Amino acid sequence: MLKSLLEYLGLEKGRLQLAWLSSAEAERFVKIAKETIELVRKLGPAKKLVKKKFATERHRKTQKNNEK
Amino acid sequence: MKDSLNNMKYIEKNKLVELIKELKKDYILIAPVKLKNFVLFRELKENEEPYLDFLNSRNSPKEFFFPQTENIVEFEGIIDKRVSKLEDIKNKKRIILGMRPCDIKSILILDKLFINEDYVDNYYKRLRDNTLIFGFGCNKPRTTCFCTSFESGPFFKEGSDGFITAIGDKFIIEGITEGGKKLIEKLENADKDMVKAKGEIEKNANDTVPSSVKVEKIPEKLREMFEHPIWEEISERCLGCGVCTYLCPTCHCFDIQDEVINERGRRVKNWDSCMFPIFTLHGSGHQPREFRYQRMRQRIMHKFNYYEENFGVIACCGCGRCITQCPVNIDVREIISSIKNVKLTISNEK
Amino acid sequence: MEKIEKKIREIAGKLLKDEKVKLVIGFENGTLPMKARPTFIKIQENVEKLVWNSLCENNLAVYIPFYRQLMDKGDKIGVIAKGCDARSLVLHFQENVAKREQIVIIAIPCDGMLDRRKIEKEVFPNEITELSENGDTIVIKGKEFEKTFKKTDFLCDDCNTCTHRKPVLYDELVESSTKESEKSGDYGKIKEFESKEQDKRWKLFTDEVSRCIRCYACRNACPSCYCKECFVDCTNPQWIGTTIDEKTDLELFQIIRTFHTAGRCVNCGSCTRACPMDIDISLLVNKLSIDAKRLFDYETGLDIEGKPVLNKYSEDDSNEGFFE
Repeated sequence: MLKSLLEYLGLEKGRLQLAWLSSAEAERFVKIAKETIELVRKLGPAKKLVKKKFATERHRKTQKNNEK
Repeated sequence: MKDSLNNMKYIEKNKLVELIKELKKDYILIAPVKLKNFVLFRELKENEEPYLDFLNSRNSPKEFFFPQTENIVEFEGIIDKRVSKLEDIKNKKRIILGMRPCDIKSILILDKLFINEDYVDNYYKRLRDNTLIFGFGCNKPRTTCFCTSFESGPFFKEGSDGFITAIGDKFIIEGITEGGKKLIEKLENADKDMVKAKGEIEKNANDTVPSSVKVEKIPEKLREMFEHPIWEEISERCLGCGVCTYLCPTCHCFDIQDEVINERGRRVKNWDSCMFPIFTLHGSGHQPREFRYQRMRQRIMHKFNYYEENFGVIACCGCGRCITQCPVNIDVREIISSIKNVKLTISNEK
Repeated sequence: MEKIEKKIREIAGKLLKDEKVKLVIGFENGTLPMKARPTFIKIQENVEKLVWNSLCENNLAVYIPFYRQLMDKGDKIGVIAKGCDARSLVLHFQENVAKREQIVIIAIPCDGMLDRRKIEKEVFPNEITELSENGDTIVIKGKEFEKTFKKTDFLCDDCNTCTHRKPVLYDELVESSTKESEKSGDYGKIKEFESKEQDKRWKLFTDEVSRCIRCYACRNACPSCYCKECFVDCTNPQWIGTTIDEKTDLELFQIIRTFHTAGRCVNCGSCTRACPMDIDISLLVNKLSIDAKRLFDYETGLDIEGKPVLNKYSEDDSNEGFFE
């Protein structure tokens, strides 16, 4: 429901990832982690729900780069 | 007529936009703006026009002197090399256009707290010094207005640098302080008829304010009422939200917080409200105002007793915002009259 | 209306006289023309104060958590309940805020409450000084105007989409000719919002909540928001920033608070009505209710034996949104 709410409000699809995992599912964990990384790479750095006013220098730089 | 004609200028209502464009070059302009079906005071954005056909704004303009969030200090650097610096306070001059007399009165009330012999709040003072206020007479007070109960009224001019009166399709603008006079220098002089019409409106203005409360002796009486059962009675329907205090033009409690993210941080001042359960919550976990009645008592006492004892004025200006916006219609006028009706017994009087 | 009012007074009077309850929470006329307000009747003589009209907008279940001590002493409380109030009370029973036997529900099927703001908009910027209603007709008066409206055109959005105007649970029922809303469950506003593009939706949402002044009226007017310590007040750990110049914190506040009511919200609209900045919070909470229905076929506050939907687990629960 949270995912649905956030996407409904306009957050990028896939920005929030959820998975059911048990500590015994090592392989599945690796697979999901890899998939997640790939998905997030595609989306690029987050711009929504990020503290803007008070971003760190590093973050500001990435934000600026993104704007370019 | 004591208003000298030279200080009386006028402008056609439809010319106001041009004047504002002109003023914006040198000033930040704060004015009422219409949103949906209500009016908010805010800094005019580019091409934004003020909306002056309003009764009063939803928010109180106190936020331009005492912002809801205000940086005290910003700092940057790693732990052992922490650099602190005062935030550069914008030095650009500001004009607040169209502030109602009740709200101007509230600033005069706040001045006593923030700028007094013992203590001067530089953050407040700088904003105060940088700002010219153009008051705006109330031709149509609301039924919930009771400004006349606090030595003010719909055409109360103290605290204004200039004062606007709407007559037909014109605004008559009166220069009051040097700064205010200078600003309207270039406008055309108002003629005798206009000044006369203005005088007429002002003469009977106080009678147009529909409600009033009698606050004489309330501060003294409250002193004896700290332990009175009335507080539980009047707070029973209170939900404990901050609408009354956050919209109130005289409420001025604040809380100081540190916000640090990685190597950057700031110390920041936020509004606080006595209606909240964490207001004055001690570090130990002890809460001296645990119940709603204690918090309601704090609000009323602070306005009508403590402030009066400390600064000689009641901290209420009769704008009626707390009445109209309270989700459960708690009415401060009713509270005052029920305090008035309380018959103090010997035990209450100690 | 008058008949209902009379009946309410009769029931409340009897409950107080027979000492069945210590207090009856209902509505009285307020000091504003467009508002009835909560009132707390403790002696039989005062039941004449009780009123019933289209301005009784508050959800009275919100007061129940304040009376825990009273209830612990064994005293009972009577509550005048509309459809939404009754559902909130059911939620309270499910979550052990109160026990069923501690509350006497005086149920009134409701025809929907008026939206003050929609009416004010019609005559903006003028002030309305008088409102009277007669059946389906509303007459408002101001200094220089008088206007007549059809009541059904000016109901709160949440009253239009209301799915249970007739209280689902009660001890005393005041009969009325109420019919369920024609637009029941028809969340047109949400569908319209949903049909917009992603960035447009984000802009609309962030613009709306950027006005938030963090007075927390939405939280305090909400019967489902009764946490002893709200996440925004918590300082150790601090979950959320406290300023208003960081707009992300305002967005987070609205998202997190409303999400805390997911599957617990009865869509009474109290939050939206309480907001002094006219933020349309129903945009968020309605979506949650739609999803609860869509994913779990669940509606809040119908079954006193049940649990809020996110408090239970079943193997056939929807896995929408999770990795396969």
